Amino acid sequence: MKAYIMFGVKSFTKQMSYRSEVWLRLLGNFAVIFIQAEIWKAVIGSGQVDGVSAQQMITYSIINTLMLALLLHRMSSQVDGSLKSGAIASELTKPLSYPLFLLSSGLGSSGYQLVFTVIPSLLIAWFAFGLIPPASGLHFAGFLAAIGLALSISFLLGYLISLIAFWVMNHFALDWMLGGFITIFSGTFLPLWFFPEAWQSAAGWLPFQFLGYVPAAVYLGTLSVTETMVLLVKGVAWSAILLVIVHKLWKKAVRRLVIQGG
Amino acid sequence: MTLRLFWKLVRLLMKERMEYRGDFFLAIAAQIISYTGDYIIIWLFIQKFNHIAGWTWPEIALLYSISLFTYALGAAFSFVQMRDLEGQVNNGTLDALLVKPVNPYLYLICRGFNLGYIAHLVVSGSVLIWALTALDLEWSAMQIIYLVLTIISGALIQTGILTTIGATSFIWVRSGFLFNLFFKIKDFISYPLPVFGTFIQILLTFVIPFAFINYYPASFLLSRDTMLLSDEVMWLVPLMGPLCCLAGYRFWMYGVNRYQGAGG
Repeated sequence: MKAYIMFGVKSFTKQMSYRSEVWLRLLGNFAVIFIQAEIWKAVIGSGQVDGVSAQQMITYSIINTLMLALLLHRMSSQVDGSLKSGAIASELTKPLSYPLFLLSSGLGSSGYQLVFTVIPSLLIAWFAFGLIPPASGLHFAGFLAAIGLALSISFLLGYLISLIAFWVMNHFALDWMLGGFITIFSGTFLPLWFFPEAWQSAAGWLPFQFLGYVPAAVYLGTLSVTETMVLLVKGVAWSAILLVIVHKLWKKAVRRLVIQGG
Repeated sequence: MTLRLFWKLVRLLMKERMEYRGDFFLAIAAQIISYTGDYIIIWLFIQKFNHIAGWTWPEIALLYSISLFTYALGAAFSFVQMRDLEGQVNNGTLDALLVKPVNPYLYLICRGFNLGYIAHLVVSGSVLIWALTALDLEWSAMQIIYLVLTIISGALIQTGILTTIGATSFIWVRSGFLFNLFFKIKDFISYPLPVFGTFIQILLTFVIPFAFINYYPASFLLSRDTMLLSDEVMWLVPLMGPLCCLAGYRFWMYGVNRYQGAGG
């Protein structure tokens, strides 16, 4: 355990060397939130659409934009780098679990993002656009649970992609595909409640909704308590399914691994 | 760097890509999925709300497609080349480029000419053509010429801005975050600019000329009034591209002349 914490800390401090660019990141987040906020104000105005106000949608956008900085699905380039350079050979011989090593370094950089970009961006967005408080203490607890699910599902999806890249050797293409599905089905920009029915039910069957829509919807309290509970259980089920898949695939991948350089 | 030399280079690059044919097509399929996703989400949005600031789906599709199409054209000549400059400056491999007996900028952008953008062009080109037919515009020769000119100009604006960002790596050594910012700011022009109010329109017209890529050309083609530019200046819009590209080039050359080598 101590080793993994150290990997997390290491990845946190590695990110520290980019802290002069924090301003640009804050500006970038501000631009993204600004764009979405203006669009919601333009289409919803001062009224409500389907019982949702522009102010609620702005909070939805703020949560989604900032959560994107914390998600862990982008490790495939790191794995790919190790694969192509051959560094993976030495990483595998270390007496530790490779996926947990990836997870801890991912969490380390997310921790960095949380402290240096998410929290400042949140404060800026709060002043500039206003932020609705969570619907209740219970909803806030559900929101934190949903963030946990978002982290675990995003990690597992990214890890799945990295493993498939052991065969396909093009993590880049796989990343693009994953990105496409996340764009549509995560509800990061357009929440699922505004989807046409067929699209809504498709998104409901997929794991991507947990990366954006679910945490924000739980926070705002737009779902009933039962709906929220069902969704959270579904999220746990998705984590379990993905965990089984990556576990099986990892065993095969290691056996298949051919060190190409080093 | 003559045009003949460039075509020879393109043929060679094509051969190089075709060595790993499966990989190339996988990458293209993936990008098609990714950009189709971007279109679908805007389409779903308009399914719900009917329009954004009075712009309907075909109009938004036209606006977005011009942005993506010109980006693909411009980025094929500049994005990866400029993004990787940072690494080359860091490793000192840039020096190899500077001792070649050709203009380093032209060599860099042509040598790095990226066939991978074909997927962007296919997706945005098809939607562009669909949008133009769906809009039922009355096409005169003048309008067709205007569209072609503004697409070329838009591509040059994108190249100019990417070049400018790339050149900052000579000065600050790092430029990666500016590219991230570029993509975030570029998202403004995925939507009609009046949504964002006066300040943003002034900013994207006079400071960073993003509005000239698609908003002004599309507004003129759709006979929509814009806040800052009147109809009379519509033929000046295509001049922005060459201007922007020249400015980017000048800045890049200034940067490369200042470059003293960072690593080795």
